[in-house]
Amino acid sequence: MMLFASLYLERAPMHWAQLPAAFGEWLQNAGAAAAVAIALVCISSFAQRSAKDYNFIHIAGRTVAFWTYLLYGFFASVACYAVIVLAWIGRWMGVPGVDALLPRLNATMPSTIGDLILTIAGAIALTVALTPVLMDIVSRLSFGRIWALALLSWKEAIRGRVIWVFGAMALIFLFAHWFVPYKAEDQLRNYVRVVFWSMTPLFLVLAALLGAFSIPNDVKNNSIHTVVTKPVEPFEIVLGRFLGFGSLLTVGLFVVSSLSLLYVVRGVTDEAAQESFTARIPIYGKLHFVGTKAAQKGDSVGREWSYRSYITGPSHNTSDKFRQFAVWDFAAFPEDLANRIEEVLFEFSFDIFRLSKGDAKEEGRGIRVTFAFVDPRVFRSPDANFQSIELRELVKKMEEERSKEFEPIRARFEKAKQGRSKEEVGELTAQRRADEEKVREKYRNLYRIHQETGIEVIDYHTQQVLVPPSAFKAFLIDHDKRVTQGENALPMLRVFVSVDKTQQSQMLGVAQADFYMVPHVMPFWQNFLKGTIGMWCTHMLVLAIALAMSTYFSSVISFIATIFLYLCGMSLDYMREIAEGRLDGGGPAESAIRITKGLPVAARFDEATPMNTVIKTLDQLFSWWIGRIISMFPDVGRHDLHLYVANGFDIGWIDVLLVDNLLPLGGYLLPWAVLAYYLMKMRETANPT
Amino acid sequence: MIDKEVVVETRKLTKIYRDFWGREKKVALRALNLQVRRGEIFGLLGPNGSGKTTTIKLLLGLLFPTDGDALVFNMPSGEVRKNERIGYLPEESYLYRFLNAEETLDFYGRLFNLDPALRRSRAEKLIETVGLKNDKKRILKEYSKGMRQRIGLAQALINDPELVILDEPTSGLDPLGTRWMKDLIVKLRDEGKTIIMCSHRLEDVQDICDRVAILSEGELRKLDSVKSLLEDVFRLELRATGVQLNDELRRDLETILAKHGGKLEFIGHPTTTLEALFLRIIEESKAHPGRRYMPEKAAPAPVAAEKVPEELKTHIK
Ligand SMILES: Nc1ncnc2c1ncn2[C@@H]1O[C@H](COP(=O)(O)OP(=O)(O)OP(=O)(O)O)[C@@H](O)[C@H]1O
Ligand SMILES: [Mg+2]
Repeated sequence: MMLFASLYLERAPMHWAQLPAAFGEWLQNAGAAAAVAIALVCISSFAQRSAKDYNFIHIAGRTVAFWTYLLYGFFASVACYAVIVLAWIGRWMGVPGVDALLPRLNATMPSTIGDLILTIAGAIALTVALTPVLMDIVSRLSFGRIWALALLSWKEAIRGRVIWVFGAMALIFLFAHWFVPYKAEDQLRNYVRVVFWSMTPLFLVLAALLGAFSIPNDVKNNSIHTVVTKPVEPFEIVLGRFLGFGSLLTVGLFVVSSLSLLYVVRGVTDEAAQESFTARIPIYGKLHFVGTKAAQKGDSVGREWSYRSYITGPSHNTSDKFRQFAVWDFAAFPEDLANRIEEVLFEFSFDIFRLSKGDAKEEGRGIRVTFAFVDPRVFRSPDANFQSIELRELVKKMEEERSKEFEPIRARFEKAKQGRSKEEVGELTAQRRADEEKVREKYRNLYRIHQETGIEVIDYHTQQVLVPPSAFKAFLIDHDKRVTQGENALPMLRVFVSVDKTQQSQMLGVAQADFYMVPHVMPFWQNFLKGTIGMWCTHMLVLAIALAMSTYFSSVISFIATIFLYLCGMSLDYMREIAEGRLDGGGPAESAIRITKGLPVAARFDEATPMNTVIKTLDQLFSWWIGRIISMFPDVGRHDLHLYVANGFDIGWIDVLLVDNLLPLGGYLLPWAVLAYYLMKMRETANPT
Repeated sequence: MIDKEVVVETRKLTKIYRDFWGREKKVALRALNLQVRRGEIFGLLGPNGSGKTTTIKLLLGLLFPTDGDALVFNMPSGEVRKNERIGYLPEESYLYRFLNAEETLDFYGRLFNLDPALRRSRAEKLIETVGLKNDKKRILKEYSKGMRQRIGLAQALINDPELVILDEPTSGLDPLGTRWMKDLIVKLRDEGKTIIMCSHRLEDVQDICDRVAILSEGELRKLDSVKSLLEDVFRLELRATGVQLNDELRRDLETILAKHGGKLEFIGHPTTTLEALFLRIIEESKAHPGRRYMPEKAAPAPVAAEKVPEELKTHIK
């Protein structure tokens, strides 16, 4: 039995399919930022047109002057934004039909034409801002110089004794076990948590310090003068610093996390280690229900939040005919499972809800459930409700036929047993088992059903069901004909879970992620190291922000601002709630009215008076703006992968690391890089203001 | 029209320092027009705060002009690519203090994308030239000011530049070092490089510069070749050995001069410069350790105070 609960993430990782939408939103936000920045540059240049050094568009050689076509592009983007603004005004004045031109208020609503316009405007603005950067990167940037600056950063950090910080982290591990609560079932989880959480602040502060202080220090000591008077592009300095400190942090992280892995492996007791040092690669099915009020939902018991649904089993006074099933459809599974020797693992962790208070003896005992693994092609009906009835018949028929064949085996065994020694009897028993298994396999192939009954469910534990590989062989029979016979839409495997007949009425709580196939298991250590890639993402994030800030602000301000942004990023979920208007009492305008009028939070506020309309519109605008503003904060929560490691779930390279960590990181950092490019290029190196 | 021989040109170059809000703080340079030609040593001369460093920073693109243009090799000064052909020694050597001399030169060599072999051979030669061979493994933090100035010059020459810009190259150097630096600058010119240097040490400028621009309060006061600036065509100098100064000699000279329509203004023993004296003492003490200096031989030619033009007189302490 596993000591783990299954993997509950507050937010599911982003999926490939969500990527285009996320990209669109990114274009809107990054593009809007670019448009605002370009507008600011234009305005300040216009205001300072008599002073060439403040007129960024005309600094010869420094800033690539906006080529005419880029300027036209910018006007196009401004025109798009103007459409949106006009639509807002139109809406205020009650012009009909302009609502479609407005962007949606938050990410939970369907997108509109307005969103499309915003996306296009953003894409154009971003292209305008990016073109000079890309031209420079292609034509001027030299890796040799960036590398030289990176090496310099290494030497600076090492000779400045920065690496002692990594030593300090080793100290933490010496004493960490004082703080790790000792409880066998949570031991590994606690260890992983302590290790991850103690590494995070130290590395983050280090990254922020390195990033925030290096360039301002160079400016303060004037050592930057000897660098920028070489053929060094200003942006190369930023990139060189990023590469240098980034690789230093990477090496440091690798060393420290390897040490901490050792620490975890040594610290966890053998018993806990045997059961929990794993990284499962789960395959999740799709959950639906049979016999409940709605197919998408089981019965509610009014407990917990909406996460789980409940099914009951027949009790001694109800008919056995009407059963409730939780059904998981597995669209596909790896075909090599059929060739395996060892059994295929399924895991589940269900919740038990007792309807009646049983006596104390019963209290600790769980309820028993039956799992039926079926190839859905065996059913005559495509409807799962009918299938569940068919299933009962098929199983009954299969068991009858099978037991007929068991009989001669048993008889042969009884006969041969007479007068044999203990060892010989053991051999014979093994022989009998093997023969019986052959029969089982034959019927599995015939009926394509594998059923396990009477498995006891224990609250808050992850349990296992093992399915023989021969069952998968059965499910794969004629697999290549699926497409041609139009059976492709059927899942390859359907699992019916039902509650066995019990003394008391109890309910079984299930959620989609509660039951999954574990075809493969990876070693714990590699998952642990993969988890540190999430940490690595935050380090790079903080380093890059600090560096970008320090191209304009002084070291201390950059440091504080970076930490501030990071903390904002941590409370992103709360801010999203504001943006999506989920808070009680409405937005700031409505709240202000409520306070001045003394209205309670629960009071209604939806009469269509002109005043209320104005207030609602203001709040919608506000919430829309908050939505834009929070997109400027780093989403640090998504890079925290310790739950995967602690709960023993493999961190997927593609779905978790690439799609949910590295790509969003790149998307977030790109605007910062562009900002750093321009700030560095526009600054007067010798005139710090 | 592009004149190949003009390496640096400024047109109405103006720099106004401003505060964060764009308010005017200081007009550091006002409508400066200059042309520096290939192969000359050009001196920027002026008292503290007259805008010498500002001019140099504008040429290098470290500052942006408020008005006017600064062209180097016919490129605007903000253009990064011009730096390929420029060497720059800042006012104080602003180098990375945690690197040693070798690493410093290697680092700056990499910034020019020099290939490793060339980088190494140049670094070695330059370290030898600036006389830091024995200290090349020590980090710059431990260097004395003069040593830093030397390594600073070495890094300015790592790319074998066509144009060398030196901001107060002799500051922090002892008279020996000053002499060495001046000789080196002349040698660089003789190799065909163009040199722009600024200084408020008049003797440096006088000794080596071909042309000087005299700045004061951010404005150009005078621009000419040193020779024509210093030459006093109304006066005549006469120097002689083997005679004693007495009234008879003075009278004789006066009659001769009167005959040619002139007038004797001054007759007396020349004084040497402290620099020349210092150099001789050091030389002597190297040749004869432990002996005190005795003035035996004739001192080198003096520099008479009268020769300094009016503009500079006020600034001589
Ligand atoms: N960053 C700055 N902000 C404001 N004023 C400045 C700045 N840098 C220089 N100045 C002013 O500009 C004027 C010219 O300064 P600059 O450094 O060019 O003089 P300089 O001729 O090099 O003097 P020195 O011989 O002392 O080196 C000075 O009055 C100085 O105070
Ligand atoms: Mg100066």
